[in-house]
Amino acid sequence: MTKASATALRLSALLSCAPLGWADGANTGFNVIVNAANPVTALSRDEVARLFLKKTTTWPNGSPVAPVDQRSDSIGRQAFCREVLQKDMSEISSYWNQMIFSGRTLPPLAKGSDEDVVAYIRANPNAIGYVADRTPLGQGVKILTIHD
Amino acid sequence: MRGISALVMLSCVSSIDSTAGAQETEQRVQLHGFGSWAYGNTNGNDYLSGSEDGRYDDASFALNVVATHADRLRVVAQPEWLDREDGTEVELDYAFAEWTFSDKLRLRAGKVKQPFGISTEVFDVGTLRPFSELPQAVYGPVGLVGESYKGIGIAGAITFGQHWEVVYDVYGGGQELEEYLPPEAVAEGETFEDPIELERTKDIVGARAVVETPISGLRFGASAYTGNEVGSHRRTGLGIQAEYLAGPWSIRSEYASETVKDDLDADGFYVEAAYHLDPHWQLAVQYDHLKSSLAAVPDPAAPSLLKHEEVALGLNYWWSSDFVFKLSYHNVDGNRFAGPPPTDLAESVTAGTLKTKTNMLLVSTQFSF
Repeated sequence: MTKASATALRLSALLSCAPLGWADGANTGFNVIVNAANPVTALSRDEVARLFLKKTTTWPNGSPVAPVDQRSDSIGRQAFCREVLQKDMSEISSYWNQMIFSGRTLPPLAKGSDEDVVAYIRANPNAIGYVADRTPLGQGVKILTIHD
Repeated sequence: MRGISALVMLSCVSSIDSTAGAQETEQRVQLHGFGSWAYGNTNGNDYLSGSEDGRYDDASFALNVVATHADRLRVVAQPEWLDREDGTEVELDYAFAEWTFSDKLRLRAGKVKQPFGISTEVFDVGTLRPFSELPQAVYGPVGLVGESYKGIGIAGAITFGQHWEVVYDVYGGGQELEEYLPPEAVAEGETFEDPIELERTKDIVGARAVVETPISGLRFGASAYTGNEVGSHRRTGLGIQAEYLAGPWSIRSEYASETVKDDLDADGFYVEAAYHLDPHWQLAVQYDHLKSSLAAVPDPAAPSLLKHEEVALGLNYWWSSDFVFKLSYHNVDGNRFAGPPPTDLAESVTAGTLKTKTNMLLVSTQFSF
């Protein structure tokens, strides 16, 4: 996805006054995805944020969550931070520095592309990630419904 | 000892995956770090990294090593190298193991960063604050807060409803903290060998609770600890804190007090605000105030020795959130931390030449990875 088309998608979501398009993900520019075997089908934006900020570290069944981020310079990550975590990248960087140097936790694993994220999710039943909404998912991965 | 310590650390670093910092693969061991350098020039007194002739000496670097095993066990260590005017020293900031039972309960044991106030756990990480140094009225070497404890603690986070959360720490053990001795010693008419005294406190029990509110970025909390100071009496520390970090704003305020029974009382307070004009430029302002009193000298001849009041203005350029240039101006009233070299302090008080006001220009760079 080009930067221009991602920007257009976000702008159209805002202008449409739709409920942020969480239910189908198609208007946000990205989808939050989990392994197809994960029993969870829907989460609130706040719940997703807590998983990626490692404030919540287990799924409802007690399994450890494995969030996977994208590179800090990726458009998808910047959009995800803005719309789900509701912080810009500098705030996120400061948050993780605080967590790292106080010895509390480490940032999620970061992958270099949407395809790498999909492959990781497919191979890890407890993983959660996000990809551009036009990324082919294939077998073993499903889109999570995000509600506000 | 310093050479051996450096050799050991180099061996550890060389054995770790070279991609450890890039997070491209699952890693059992990760490396992070931070460092700084500062130049300071004052109108007479020494203060922080500044002196009348200008000082380029202060540099530091810390390496943060985290090893994880089986999702529940983490081992964390952080040594730090400090280059100062009088030489280089190596410190162990912390080294501990943590076992995770759940988000609500984690167990920590070893040398752990002391959870007190906003910044004790990230004491030397310059990329997490607008000024080169932490507010001295609370974090200066007066004994209000310690950097670490050695013992056992529990920590966790408990949510209430959808948007409230309490992050807590409870701990026990021993504590060491550094005090800059000369002002108190001179006020009491005593001599000292080493200007930095290591105060040891045993049988400490402490706790901190920080409340995350529904307003994104707004949190407040309280801290306390008490223990028996070796060679003295009971030491008790109390603190309250408030912080708002959101968008371009960074606003913090803390109050801390310390009591060593029949020895010393100290109260410190600061308020700090910083604003990003754009992703790179940041303006900052800070006010802090400390007063202390000694039981042995209720009415000292030079009251400025027990007082610190400071106004600071800052202008920062953030190349990124991990690399910053800082320029700040500090106006200090008092001599609890600012003054002539330790060996000249008593003479300047006796001769009536002690400068109670200090102005400093500080240039620094700080970075992290």
